[in-house]
Amino acid sequence: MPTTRVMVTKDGKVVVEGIGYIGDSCLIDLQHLQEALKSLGIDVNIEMQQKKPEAYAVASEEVAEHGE
Amino acid sequence: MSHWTVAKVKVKNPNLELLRQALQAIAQELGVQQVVENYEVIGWGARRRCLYAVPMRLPYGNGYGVYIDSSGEVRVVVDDHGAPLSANEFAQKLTQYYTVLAVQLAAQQLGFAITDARQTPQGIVLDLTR
Repeated sequence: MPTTRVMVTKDGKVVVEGIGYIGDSCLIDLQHLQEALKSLGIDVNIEMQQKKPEAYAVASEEVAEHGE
Repeated sequence: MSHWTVAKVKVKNPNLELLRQALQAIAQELGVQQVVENYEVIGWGARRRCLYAVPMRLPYGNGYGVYIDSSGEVRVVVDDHGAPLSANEFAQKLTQYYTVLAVQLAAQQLGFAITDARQTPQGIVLDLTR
């Protein structure tokens, strides 16, 4: 089940982790969350974004499956 | 795809009900029952009427006040000499609690279920599940 884990730190940062997503849907969920937060007065300024190692693993598996 | 994102948040033109709820949570931690509205916060040689306040006896003041400035930003006023939280600590806590409440509300609006919420040494963690 895809999960978006959000940690709100004491120094006013938000760390978002997408878990168990397939494809780009985690980034779409993140964008929707960002827009909803903006409507509640929160400007989210992304400082860093990176794919987790398993994202590449999933991508490789998909390539392998499609290549067979 | 799974990813990490780190973002800095800034509160501007906040939802007033969420702001009051965030203040209420801080008030409880400080042992204060109720957040008050339209309260004049007094400090050493200064005073300011505030939209919301956590009234409490401080060495040189009568509580923590919150107002929204002309640009929509949330401001904290307090004479924090000897106070349990400095103005900066109070503002950081207010931003954190407001953001958590906003994430919870946004998640509900977007159809997520909040399957876990916990406090960790690094911060407050929410799991939003489809």
